[in-house]
Amino acid sequence: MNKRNLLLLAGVLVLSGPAFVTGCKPKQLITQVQSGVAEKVYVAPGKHDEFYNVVSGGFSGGVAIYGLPSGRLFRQIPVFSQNAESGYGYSEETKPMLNTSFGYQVWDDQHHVSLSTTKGEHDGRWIFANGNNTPRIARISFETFRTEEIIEIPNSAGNHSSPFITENTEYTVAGTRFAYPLDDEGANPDVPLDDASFKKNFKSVVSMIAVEPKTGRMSIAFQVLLPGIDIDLARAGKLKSHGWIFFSCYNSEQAHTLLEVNASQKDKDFIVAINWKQCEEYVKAGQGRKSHVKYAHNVWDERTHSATSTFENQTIVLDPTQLPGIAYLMPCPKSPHGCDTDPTGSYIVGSGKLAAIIPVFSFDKMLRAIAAKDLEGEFAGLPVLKYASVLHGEVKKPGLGPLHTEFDGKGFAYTSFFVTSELVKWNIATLQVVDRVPTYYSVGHMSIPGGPTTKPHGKYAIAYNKITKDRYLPTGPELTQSAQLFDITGEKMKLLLDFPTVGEPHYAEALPATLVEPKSKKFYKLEENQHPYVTKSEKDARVVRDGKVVHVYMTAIRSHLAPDNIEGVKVGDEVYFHITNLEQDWDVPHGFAVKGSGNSELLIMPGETATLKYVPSRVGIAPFYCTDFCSALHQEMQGYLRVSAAGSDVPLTFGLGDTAKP
Amino acid sequence: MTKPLKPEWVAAGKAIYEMKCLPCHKLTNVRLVGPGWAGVSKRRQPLWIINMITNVDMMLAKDEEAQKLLELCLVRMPNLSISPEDARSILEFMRSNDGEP
Ligand code: HEC
Ligand SMILES: [Cu+2]
Repeated sequence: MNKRNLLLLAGVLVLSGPAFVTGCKPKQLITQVQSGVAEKVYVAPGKHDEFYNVVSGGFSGGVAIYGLPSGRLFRQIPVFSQNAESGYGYSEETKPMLNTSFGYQVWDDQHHVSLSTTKGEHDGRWIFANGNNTPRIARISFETFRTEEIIEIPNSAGNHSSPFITENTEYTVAGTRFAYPLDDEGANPDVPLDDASFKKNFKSVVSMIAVEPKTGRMSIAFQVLLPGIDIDLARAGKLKSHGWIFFSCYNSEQAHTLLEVNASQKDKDFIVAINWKQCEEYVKAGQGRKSHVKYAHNVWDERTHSATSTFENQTIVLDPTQLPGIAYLMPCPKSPHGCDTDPTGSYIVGSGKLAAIIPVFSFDKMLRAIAAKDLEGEFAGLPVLKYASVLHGEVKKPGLGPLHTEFDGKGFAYTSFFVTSELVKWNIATLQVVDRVPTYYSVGHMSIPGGPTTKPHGKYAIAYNKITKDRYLPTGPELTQSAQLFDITGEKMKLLLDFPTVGEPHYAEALPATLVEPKSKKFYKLEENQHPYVTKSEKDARVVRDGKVVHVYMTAIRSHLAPDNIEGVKVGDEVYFHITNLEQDWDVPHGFAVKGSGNSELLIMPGETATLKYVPSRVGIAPFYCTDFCSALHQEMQGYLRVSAAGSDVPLTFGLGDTAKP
Repeated sequence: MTKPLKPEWVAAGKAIYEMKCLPCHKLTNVRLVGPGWAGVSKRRQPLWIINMITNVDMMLAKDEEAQKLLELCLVRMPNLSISPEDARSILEFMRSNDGEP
């Protein structure tokens, strides 16, 4: 291959060095693409990508799945937002997934994903995802790519530093971005918004959510009470630092208004180091306080194809001002965002959004400083370790606005810079910057396959940019979001590909397809379907009235719905269409929709049962049909429901073919 | 081939028929989505039937008789993920439907 760099000049200006973009339209466009790039991202028709890229969906409320290196979008998984395309949050079975202590929530803001690990390495079992607005954590199955569980986090507001996991997925974590009065039953949360009230009433809490190793079931193990500060991001220790977890925080000024200015006063905030193994000891010894709260726990059952929502009413809260040894503060310049631990677990990289350096903390030095009580002082009763004593060193002049750091497993770290719009590669041991590439534009999170694990897969870095501007064909004021793929196998990072993304991607992870592809589920076995309203045989398809409630036990198979003629339903009835897809082959979903239903469609996978609620509002014939093009006679997959007046005496009848009226 | 038919197999085959085949196949000679099953165990070899049940995609790709049926019905018979044992029970049920003792 040609080793000379060919700069593509067609239609673009070329210059060297990073582009300086500050949110306004960049003055000059630069694109440096080298020859031979197309074949590096070309995945031939019918061939599969090498990596799954699991990308948070931001304000779409879901998670999106891409292939790498192609950047092709495969699927959007609804998690915290209703999705009319699949019926998630609309079907009777999925509605409980979106239940909270505030009632049913149609939307949330999904920021970070965390892929399960064993011994610090990707194991391809689960995706964890946070809900930022109404604090929640979801668990998604890598077998079905469906949301299996959502747990609400009480005593919390703005669940941003979440759902990062510990080395063996013992825990997924949550933390309050907003300091906030606790939810304790009997406490009065109706407090004034002023300085004194903030200091007295507003607290921050980090939560450790235990993950049952076999089933993945989540439960809140304990919460650690912190003073009112804004907790931003988190990473667990690994290998030697396993047992610890680190949270970045800003607003140690404890401002409650104009944070832009008032929370940027001090030149250092903190990284909070929590010793969760020590916390476990205190919990075992009964040292925690019981906090009486109410939070929803929603679980999907794959046998009944249904979710249940139950309320839990207690958490254990540990107060580190009373229980020594569980929380230490490390000063970190300035308003830190990212807080990332390297693959060896030796270093913790803080990224001060407003700092001109990147501080790198040493876990060994932190332990020594703790042992030697090498303190700078106290903050709200918590020990503050001396900056110089815990510092491994600072990366000088890396760029402006560092946000997040990932690792390639070869001793290098890669940090994203929002303000100067670039990725910067540096050596962890020597702290020297070795390479930088511009991103288009204003990168937020970045990801390296396996980057947060003990064993990075390396190969690529992906930048998830906050600003798209002119990168694609314009679509009016509202544009797609943009990601960029870089080759990091050589000394220099090389831009390979731009690809559009949905929602607003924040964090993302990527893992080798070989860990996931072989166990991807193809369909649900009819024999195993335990849905209470399943219809396993077309001969059992029927309509049953119970007062004003009508249950339609319907089956779908290429290319008819049974029954397809129904009479005797009345205006104001509550009709439940329970549809079982009788197919037993991969990729043969059927859909269902009925005219004027005021509800979404259903998309029913082979062997699955799903229920659409429909309250007919007018007299007439309501046609229904299969919405998924399933066969040559898909267009024939249709039926009629006769809706009569509320008081009418039309008897309930139903049929299909021979059993319908002639 | 069993002679006489095994009643347990016939019963098992009937249960599978009702769950997975009934929407498309009648037990008479009337065509629904697929051909009616009356006489099927006489007009087809047992192996051919087993293949049709367990490996329909291969049959529709390669077997001329199966392809002729597709031309007639214009719907691909779906793969219903039937195990070889279940296919044998279904065959037993088809033979019983065709009057074998
Ligand atoms: C969705 C409709 C459908 C279902 C369900 C279905 N089949 Fe079929 N079947 C067909 C069609 C259509 C054909 C004709 C071939 C074609 O068009 O693919 C056929 C053909 C056959 C034949 C050949 C019939 C002949 O006259 O030679 C057999 C045997 C058969 N199916 C067995 C089964 C069994 C056993 C099941 C249940 C486990 C089943 N089918 C379920 C649609 C179906
Ligand atoms: Cu259909």
